[in-house]
Amino acid sequence: MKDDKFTVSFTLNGKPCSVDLKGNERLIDVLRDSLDLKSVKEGCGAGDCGLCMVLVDDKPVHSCLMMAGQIRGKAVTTVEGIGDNRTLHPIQKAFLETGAVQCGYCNPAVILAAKSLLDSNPRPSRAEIRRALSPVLCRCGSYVRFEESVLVASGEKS
Amino acid sequence: MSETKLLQCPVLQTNSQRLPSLRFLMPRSLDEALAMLQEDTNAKPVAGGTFLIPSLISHQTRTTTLVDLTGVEGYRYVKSENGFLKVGGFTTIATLVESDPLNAFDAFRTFKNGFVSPPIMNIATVGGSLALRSYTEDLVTIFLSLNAQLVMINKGVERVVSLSDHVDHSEDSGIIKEIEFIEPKKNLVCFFSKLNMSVSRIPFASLALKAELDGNIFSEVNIVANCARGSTPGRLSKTEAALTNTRFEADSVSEAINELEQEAEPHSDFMAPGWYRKKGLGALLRKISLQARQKGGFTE
Repeated sequence: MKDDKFTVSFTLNGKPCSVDLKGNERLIDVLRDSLDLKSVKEGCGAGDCGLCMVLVDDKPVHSCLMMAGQIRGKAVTTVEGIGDNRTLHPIQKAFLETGAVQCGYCNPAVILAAKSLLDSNPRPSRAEIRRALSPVLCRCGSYVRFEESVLVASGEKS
Repeated sequence: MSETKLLQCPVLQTNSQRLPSLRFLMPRSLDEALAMLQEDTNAKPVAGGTFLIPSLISHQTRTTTLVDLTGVEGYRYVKSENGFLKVGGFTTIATLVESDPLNAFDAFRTFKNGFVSPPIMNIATVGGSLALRSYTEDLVTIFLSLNAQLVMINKGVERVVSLSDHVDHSEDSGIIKEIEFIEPKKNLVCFFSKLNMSVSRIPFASLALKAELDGNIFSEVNIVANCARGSTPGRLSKTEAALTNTRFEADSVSEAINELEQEAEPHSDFMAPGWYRKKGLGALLRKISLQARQKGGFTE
């Protein structure tokens, strides 16, 4: 059968956005293919690896598990929306300071998970950090440095 | 290989994780959604989509139309009424576990703090989880222990069914509008625990226990295993009997574990053999009955 096309409007990285969709497109498909936001990575496609994480209304969600049509009226944030080459987000700066980067493939998802945590809980404990970052798999095993980065960004550690 | 050639590589250009062609309908009311589902009997409702989307990708579920329930207002709530808690079927799991009345149950606190993935609970719905009636869903096990009732709507007809009946029958019973169960009270204990491999969070064994403290003994004991009969969740009546009117002391718990090992018939699959699941359920019963005993104020 042929997909029916339709348009949805939402806020993307703080700016209004309208996009034409096919019925079978997931949020990740639209972000990567139509909107060219390549920080959003597809791994397992089943919500296990967390690499496709974005923030929807400031909460972390797996963009591979959300239909694109479901974002109408919502605010979507990808890592492109929280900093750029000139002005890094404090969490990105903390990642650089602590060397929490190896292959970097999972970093956008981890940074967004950390941002969501710090926005709601500016002084998280180590246990809270681990829980918040646990949905993202890092094949390089940089978990300890991620934890240190979040502590640095929260001001708990210099 | 040059970058251009690499980009042309057919392996990199496959769309193995893309959904098949389908229509995506966005009703504004439940009536409109039900009409769409009735009009196209092949259509599937989608709320959270955390189960359905991977299932469509892997072709385990097939459909040509999705009816999106996220735009339907009025079915996202947790409220207290006449001694019962009522949860709207489209409530996200995050809203459920963050609500104050639910946090009074140890089972839901354990589930929230240890077992549910934050990005999943932000979109997955309570009704969607219970609709799966699967051993993989922790909420099925917990709500079964609380004797939950479901308000379901199918082809315009609304009816109330017990979660237990819903789990035991495999036919399509419609959309879950509301879940109703007992309110937390001082003499009620409800605990939950599970054994899982950390990445998937799918349990190979999970157990919920609900009991009421009646004087200095536990009564009204409900024990639910996620794999009581094969891969179907259900209560374990002989195990419950072994713990009813006791203080969950060591001897009673050991007897209950013996009953559980006779009574439970878990399935075997790639995650674990049935005998291992049975041992896991026994270990979980020992753990949560001790927690209940401590909560009841009994010391060793």
